[in-house]
Amino acid sequence: MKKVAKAASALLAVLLAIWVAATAVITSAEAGDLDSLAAQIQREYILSDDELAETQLSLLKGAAGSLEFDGGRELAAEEEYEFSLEVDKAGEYWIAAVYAAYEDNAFENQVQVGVNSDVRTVVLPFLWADTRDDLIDRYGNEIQPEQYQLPYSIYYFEEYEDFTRSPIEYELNEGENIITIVPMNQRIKLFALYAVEPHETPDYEEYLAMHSGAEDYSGQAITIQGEYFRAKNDSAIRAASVQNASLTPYSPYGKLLNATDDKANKRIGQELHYEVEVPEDAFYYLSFKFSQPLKTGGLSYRTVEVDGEVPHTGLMDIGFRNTGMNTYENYTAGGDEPVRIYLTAGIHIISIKVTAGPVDGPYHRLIDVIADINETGLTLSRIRGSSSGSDKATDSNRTWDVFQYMPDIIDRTQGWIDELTDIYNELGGLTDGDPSFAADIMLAVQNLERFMSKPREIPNRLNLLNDGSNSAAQLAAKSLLNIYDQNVSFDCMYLHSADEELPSPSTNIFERADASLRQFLFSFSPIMNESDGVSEDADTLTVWVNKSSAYVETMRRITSEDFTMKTGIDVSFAIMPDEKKVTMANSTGDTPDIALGLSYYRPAEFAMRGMALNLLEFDDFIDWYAEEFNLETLTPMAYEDGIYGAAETLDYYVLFYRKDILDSLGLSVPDTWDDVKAMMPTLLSNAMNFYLPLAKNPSYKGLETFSCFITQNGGDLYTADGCYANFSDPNTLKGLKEMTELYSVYGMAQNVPEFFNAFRSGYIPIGVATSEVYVKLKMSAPELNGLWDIALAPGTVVDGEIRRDQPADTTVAMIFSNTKMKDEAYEFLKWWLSSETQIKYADEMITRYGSDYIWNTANLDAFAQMAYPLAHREIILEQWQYQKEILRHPASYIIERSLSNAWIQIVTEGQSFRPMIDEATLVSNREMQRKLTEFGYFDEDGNKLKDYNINIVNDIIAEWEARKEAEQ
Amino acid sequence: MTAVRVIKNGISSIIGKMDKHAVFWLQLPFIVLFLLFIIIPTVVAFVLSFTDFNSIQSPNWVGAENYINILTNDDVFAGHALPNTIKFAIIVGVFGYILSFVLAWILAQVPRVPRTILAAMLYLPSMTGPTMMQNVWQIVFAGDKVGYLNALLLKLDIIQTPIIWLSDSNYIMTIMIVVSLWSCMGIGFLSMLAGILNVNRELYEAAHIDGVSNRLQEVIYVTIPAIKPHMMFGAIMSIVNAFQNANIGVQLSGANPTPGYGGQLLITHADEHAFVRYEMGYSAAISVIVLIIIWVISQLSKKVFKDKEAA
Repeated sequence: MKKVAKAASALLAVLLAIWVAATAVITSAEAGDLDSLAAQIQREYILSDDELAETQLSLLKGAAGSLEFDGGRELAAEEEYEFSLEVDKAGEYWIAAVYAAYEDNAFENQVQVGVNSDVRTVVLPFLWADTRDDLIDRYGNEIQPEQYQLPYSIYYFEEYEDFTRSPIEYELNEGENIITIVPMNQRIKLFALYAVEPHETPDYEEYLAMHSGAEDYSGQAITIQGEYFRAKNDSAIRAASVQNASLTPYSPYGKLLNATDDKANKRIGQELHYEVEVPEDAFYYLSFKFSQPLKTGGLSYRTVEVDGEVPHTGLMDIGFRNTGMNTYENYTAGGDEPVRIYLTAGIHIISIKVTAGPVDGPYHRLIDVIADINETGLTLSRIRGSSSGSDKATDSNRTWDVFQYMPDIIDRTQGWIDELTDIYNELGGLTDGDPSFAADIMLAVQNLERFMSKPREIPNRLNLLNDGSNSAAQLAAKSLLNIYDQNVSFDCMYLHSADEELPSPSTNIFERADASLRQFLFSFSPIMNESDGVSEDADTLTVWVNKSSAYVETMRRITSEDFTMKTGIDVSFAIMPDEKKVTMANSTGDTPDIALGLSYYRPAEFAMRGMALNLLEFDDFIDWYAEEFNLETLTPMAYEDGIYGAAETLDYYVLFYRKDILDSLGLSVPDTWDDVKAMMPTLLSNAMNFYLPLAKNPSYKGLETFSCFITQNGGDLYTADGCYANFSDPNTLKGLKEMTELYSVYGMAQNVPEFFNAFRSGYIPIGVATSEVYVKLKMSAPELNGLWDIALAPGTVVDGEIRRDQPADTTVAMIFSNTKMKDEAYEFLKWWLSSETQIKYADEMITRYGSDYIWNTANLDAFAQMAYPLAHREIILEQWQYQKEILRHPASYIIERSLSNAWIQIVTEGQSFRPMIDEATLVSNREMQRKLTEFGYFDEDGNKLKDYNINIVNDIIAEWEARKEAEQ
Repeated sequence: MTAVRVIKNGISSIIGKMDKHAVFWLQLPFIVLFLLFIIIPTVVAFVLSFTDFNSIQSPNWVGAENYINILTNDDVFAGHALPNTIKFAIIVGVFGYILSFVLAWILAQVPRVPRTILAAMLYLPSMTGPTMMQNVWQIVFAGDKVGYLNALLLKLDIIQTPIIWLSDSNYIMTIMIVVSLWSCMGIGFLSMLAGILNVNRELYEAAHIDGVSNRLQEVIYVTIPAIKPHMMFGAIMSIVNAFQNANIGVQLSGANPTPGYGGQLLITHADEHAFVRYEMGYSAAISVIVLIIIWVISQLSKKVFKDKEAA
């Protein structure tokens, strides 16, 4: 027996070895054949852009009323335009618009539309198409195609909040109807408005009856590749390269785009248009090869339109069940009782639209419950007199007669439990199973049950209700996104006959093993192991980027397409995972020519040690920079008489506030710290609080979190000679006093690790925060939609004017002093920071990776084009006018550290103000002198030899302004 | 025939030559790696400690100035880093060592299956490393009301307002010690456990005949003498860990230097000088001092645990 086993295993080992060896031979022969890869993806559109528009327009031919503008009419952003649309007969109508964009940007095109004073916000998406001259890069990976806007976009006015995304039915009068249009985010070009009589979608029986004479299609299946969409209505939708051998096209030797990306195609209202040519008039079955990886126990929905119309109700809200990660399945529209579509011979547009009619009800009911829970929670915390927003603790041994304050609390809670359970069951009813994707709802129910189990402790158990990320309200809110998102990835679609055997959607274990082995072997090929670091080539500009590969990949591409094309200068990029790498590279003499994405304080540190190139060496630097940037951004990059870097991105410190809560408290948005102090008692008596970035990190207060207090009061951290700390200057002292008193006297929250959570539950309804919070609010707090806003950060009144100084510098670019290509490097820097490149880059990042890759460029002209709503963009730009930075110093760290320690001692440990500041001064002065001795400002005996220049940027600004004035 | 013989002779003479230096050849890989990663960096650090290297410009020879500055002019070194390190090393090193031994001995008394499970659980913290440590303990010591410790103390009415543990210079050291003790059951603990399990049972029987009457005597007269090499190894590991795991304070508080220098140790002090202040020479000098301290203590512990019979 043993012998047999031994022989068998030996045989198996030999077979395995042969298999590996054979695959290796095949792989080495096949790999790197870029032509054969390219051959797999060759494809052309059937219709040209104009033909596509014509096809779509022809569908509106029979409109009841129309208003057309030859050549289009420009509608400017935030302006109201009035049109009159005539119809012969009073009644219900759908209204369609034909329009186009002026700029190739990715804003969501929100438009406020009023029809006979019925005003609503609708989204008019622009149609995009991918270019088809796809290329394979030298690693065998298919390059994401470029995208462009189609000349015309045609959409009905659809209700934004409605998950079925059907056109709004407007009541139109006979004769003239007034239509007002206000573009919210950008100017648009309007070509026409049409009033169309609503056509009822027939049910399947009626549909069959309408085409009673038709035959079933009997030919071969027609395949539509998911990634070859003719048009899309959201630039974020893109094709993905899925590493799964069952997909078409697929190659183990490169990443070919082979399916739609489920992460980019999930938002309700997104739509993909496919063109397909069918050979005969007949009934066709429609099947999908899809993957729905994320919604466990739930369905993702799509509605199919043919030539702009849903053929019958059987094609509305088709549910795609969960498949698991990277697994594809076949699904025929209609499921067990497949439905057919009647198509005439010729070209048709089949559109796959993200809708979610079945979850519309549960979603909006859930939002209402969450709002109700939050409101009750805030009332209870007011009764209790403390919350997570305040530092004050509650007496947990106190028993509460909660019914005296809120007699119906138990009924209310029971009501929420019933409603939540009902919503959960409704979601479960859609799949006849457990809706695991919404399991958080049941966790919320459990919390609520525990919450009401001890009525006497209710006010102490708000963490079960709405306080913190594990409370009922936030758990329920977490499932909102899961309900809303409709992720599905399509590899392909088939139009086929009744008895067609569709290709298997999965591969067997041998095919999978073969594909993985090939991939593994291919990873040893020289092309995959090329180092992309410092180029040996002397004519290549080397750029190190302190960003993730998503950013660098895009940079590399637009550089080679634009910069290298124009100038002929080759640029090689490398990712720098750690900024310390630069210092280490320098000690081996391998510094790059340029570094991008560095922290704002690095260039000065490098400059002090002779590693950075002074940009003032280039005569036109200041003039060029001042055109589109704020000169103040240069402050942290200045050292002595030079400027050693240029700002790349900025962050914004602005005031975030909850409109609903401030309204209910009767508070207005504060303009100054005095206003903030005035609102503190109201906030505290409602168990709420105010947030400043100082409260984020309990143990270290970075310079950027408190510099605003000093600069707003006109103080300075350094003495005029730059050699000592200047904390006892009256203005500086005033700022320091303010920033400690806000906490020690006015009771601001000292430790708020996660402002976003507290803001969400309402305990800290107002605070100064950065883009990080902005993105989170936009992306993951759907229940707060429209309930929050931003405003300028509070300031200090100086000479009758409010100074709202805040820092902003985030990442910067610099050139190294030992570069051999000074001029080329400077040219690259100018190109990279120019507004065209920055806009292009920002758009690419968003369209490719989604809205959380928003790029806050420091180029103010370019920022005006970024994908923020217009009102927010204006506030951020105005806040940046108040930008004020702190100059770096060889001993900056000790200033930061001693003030941070002083703040902790004064606020956290309750020590006296003045002695702590004096101690901070003493410690700072000693270290500054020691450090400046290293740099030759003091001699060995402590005599000062020269001053440290602290006015360089102010001088530059003054000189530039004088020059500007002289020119005029 | 002759050709074959020539080749045969050639090969055997090569093998014969290599055989002569077999010790050298077998050690070569180790020697190369040890030189490359231990000896050379140490020598370089030693040389750099006499320069003012700022990691960017080429270093200048400054003689013993760094050492003079450390010993005479560095408040943080003398006032915080050194006393903190001594405190930390004594408590974590000595108590951690004793704890390791006691736990290893207790574990040796339980049956195999629970022993394996418990040993894995005790060993886990030292294996999962700083990230895990940081994540777990930052929640326990979080400075708001929902931090576990704060929540417990508030509930028991011991404190009225939450304490911001990790940014308070009075607590950070204690927290560092607690966390380090929690994670000190490392490789030394495993080696002692293995040692105890391998003690010949006959020795215990013999001791009983000789008059040993309780477990404590067993430990002192049989177990410890029998596992002296393991004890030695455990001691060295414990010392090295006590000096090297110093980053825990920085990881917990999220800042270097730690708030109010409360958790500043020699290693973090060196790290701060190197990467915040760009003073590599100074930093190297501190490292050399740490090296000397560790060496001295290792020599002391060697004296204690040296197997006199073997020597």
